[in-house]
Amino acid sequence: MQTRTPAISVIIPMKDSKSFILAALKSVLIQEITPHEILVIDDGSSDGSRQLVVDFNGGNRRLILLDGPGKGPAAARNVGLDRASGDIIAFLDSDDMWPRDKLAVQLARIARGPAVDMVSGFTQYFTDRLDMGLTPDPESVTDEMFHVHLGACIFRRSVFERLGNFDENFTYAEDVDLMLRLRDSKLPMTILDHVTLYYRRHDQSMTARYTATEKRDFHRALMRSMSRRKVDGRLIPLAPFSSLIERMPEP
Amino acid sequence: MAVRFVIDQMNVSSEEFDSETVCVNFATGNYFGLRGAAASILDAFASPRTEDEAVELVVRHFQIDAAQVDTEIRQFIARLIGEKLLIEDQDQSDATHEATGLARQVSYEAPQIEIYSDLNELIMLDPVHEIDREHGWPLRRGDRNG
Repeated sequence: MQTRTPAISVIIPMKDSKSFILAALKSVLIQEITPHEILVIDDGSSDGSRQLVVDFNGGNRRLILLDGPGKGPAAARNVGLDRASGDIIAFLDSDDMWPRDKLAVQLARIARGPAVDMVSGFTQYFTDRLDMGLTPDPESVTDEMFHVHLGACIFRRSVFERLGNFDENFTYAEDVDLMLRLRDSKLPMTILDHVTLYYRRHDQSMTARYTATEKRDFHRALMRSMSRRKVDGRLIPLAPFSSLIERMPEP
Repeated sequence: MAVRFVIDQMNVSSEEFDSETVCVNFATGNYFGLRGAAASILDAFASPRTEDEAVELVVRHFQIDAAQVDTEIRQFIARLIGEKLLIEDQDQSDATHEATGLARQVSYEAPQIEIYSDLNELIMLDPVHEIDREHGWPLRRGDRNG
């Protein structure tokens, strides 16, 4: 009996991403497993990136362009979540890319069991390049590790039905907030020993420090997690992320 | 000359919520829940101060009997230093530093600090945005156990 591949919705929030959005879209379209739909949410671009997507699409029914409310990535992703019809939800930032086997590898893990609601993986960081290659130049790769990046994960839709969408009160750290909500809820998740995201590092961020707003939002995410985990005044600690890493099966 | 200490502003941030103050040390990856006079004592080191100066500031702010709380406050300051929330001020000159307003609490309660390390990996990886090379790279593919 053939197992049906679950429908996958890919959500890509975008604002002024003309330099990178096509590479991001191409990396999704060449996936070994085809997504059911690609939802690009334009959150008020003024650099021509919207038109780039329209021209690139060329009638591809899987690619759907939506309008964001102009309130930042959390609200833009929520527009995608509200529209998504897939059983599996994946996110990609408009300046990042996926390895070609990302969806195949992570869906295989979901099918393989033990049951999980979210599958993450490792992120390969590369320094900024303006070429249209879909794999980072090996000389541009700076590191490879697990980090809290939505683009490295896939989620069962039920995660958002249980936990809610992204909190739009966060300007930053909305992904940290979601990850902590997920971990605090004890929904099963795993981290594959495999690269599932190519993350583009931009020069201006290499030496950036926290702004007051960034600190505030991270504190809020942390405080909420602490509040959820307090039992009789005692904080129940989380297991380290490293305990969730699982090796890939032998080929 | 007594050493002056100051909050490690580069790596430490804190924010007050309803019943406690959350403090994060991005260099060590630890985060803290501060209750009672804990946040006020930490606040005393917003400008460089010696231990004596900080104790005097806290006692004056809460209008309390110094003899009753002196040891308690000094022991707590030692914990803050041990957790690297306070560092030695690089400028140990005898300059007068601005008085700090300790506006957090009205009445003195014994300082309490809870220390959590379960999110070390997340915090030290600079979770908000880009990674800073100076902080190290835990959970790199080449360094994983097992």
